[in-house]
Amino acid sequence: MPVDEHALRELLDGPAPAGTTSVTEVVRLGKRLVYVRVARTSLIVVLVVGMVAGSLNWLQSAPMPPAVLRSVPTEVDWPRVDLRPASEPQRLDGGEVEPLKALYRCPVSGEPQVGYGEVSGALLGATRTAVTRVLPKTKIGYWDAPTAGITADLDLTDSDGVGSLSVRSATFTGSPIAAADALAFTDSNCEPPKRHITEDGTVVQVYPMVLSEPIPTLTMRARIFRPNGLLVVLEVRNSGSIHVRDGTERQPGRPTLPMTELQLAQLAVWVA
Amino acid sequence: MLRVRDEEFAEFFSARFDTYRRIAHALCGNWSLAEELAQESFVKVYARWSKVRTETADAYLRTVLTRTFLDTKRRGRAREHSVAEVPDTPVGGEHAVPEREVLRAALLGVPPGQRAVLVLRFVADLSVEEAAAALGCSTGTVKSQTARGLAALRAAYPESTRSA
Repeated sequence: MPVDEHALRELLDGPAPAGTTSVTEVVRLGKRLVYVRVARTSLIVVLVVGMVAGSLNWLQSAPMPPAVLRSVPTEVDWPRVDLRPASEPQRLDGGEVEPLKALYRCPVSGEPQVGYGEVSGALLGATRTAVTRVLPKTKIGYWDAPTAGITADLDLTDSDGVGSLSVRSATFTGSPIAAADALAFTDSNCEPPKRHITEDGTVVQVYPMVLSEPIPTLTMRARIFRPNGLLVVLEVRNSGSIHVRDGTERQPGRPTLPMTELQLAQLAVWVA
Repeated sequence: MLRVRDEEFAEFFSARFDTYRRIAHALCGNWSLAEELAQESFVKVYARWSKVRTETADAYLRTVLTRTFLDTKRRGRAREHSVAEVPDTPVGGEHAVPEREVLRAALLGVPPGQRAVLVLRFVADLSVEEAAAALGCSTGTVKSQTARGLAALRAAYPESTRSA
């Protein structure tokens, strides 16, 4: 037989051992191959989805910059007044419950006296409207003026309990800034208040939270010094009308104030 | 639906398995390995049966068989009986056809890539284009590989038999 490429065709002929492969076996192996491919594809999909989900989870749990993490700020970003208290800090015994303990006071003496007068209905109306806007989720009570109209109280109730807001008004002489400086530590606060001056020259000061005695009561105030000589004091307390016994004695109230420093600042700007 | 698919494939298998087992034998020179190559190729065809369908199943089967064979060679799984010297007496017993076995032995002396081209072109009787499609290469490559493969085949053929 010559070496002819066409002779290669004869290799298909001739004796051959009987085949041992059955179609049943091929189908069985083929189905298993399909199953393996599907399982492999599913595993890859699961791994990819898992990696994506894990990455997202990691990103969500990763530490964020403070500005992002604190999505609901509680403090106003106004600058503090550049003044120092006249006296040394004295530690108060506020008990063992935070935040009543570790509070200090810096007693003041010789500060100018202001004469408080009756709070006008217009001021009370404007203040209550402002409260509804600043605290949309808080149940707001009605003004109660038990002390001859000099102070008006308003209960503020939320999930933490009952607190209150009181309003007083007085007059001062001199410029708003000078009056604000003179009363910068009138709450016996050791840290200077934060100050904001509006376009018309009204000075708004938010004071640090202080502890009133003898019954420990948390108090935070904002003072508004208008150019016309009117002083408005907004006082937030951790107690409400339900905590007042025998008309004047105030019992310990809720553990926190009913509004944050930022909310008090917003309220003061509304009222100013 | 699945039963119809299996019946179609069974028909396809019955009509072709022996032919492709012989083609595989021409490629590797070993009946056991040829059986394995053919079986593996048909299994892969079954796994894609819904896509290859009967019209393209032959072309797909040729591609799978050839590539599976070449893969075994690349992975060093050459389980064929390599023949360093073409035997003077053809193997296969007293009923074997001597010339055919000499030719088969000479074919196994051709490099695997060129051997695959020769088998597809002359054993499976494919055109240059069909062989190129099965190998995933150009027709020019098939032509050049054919020429080199034939030269290698002739070189491997015993002198005495060649002049006979």
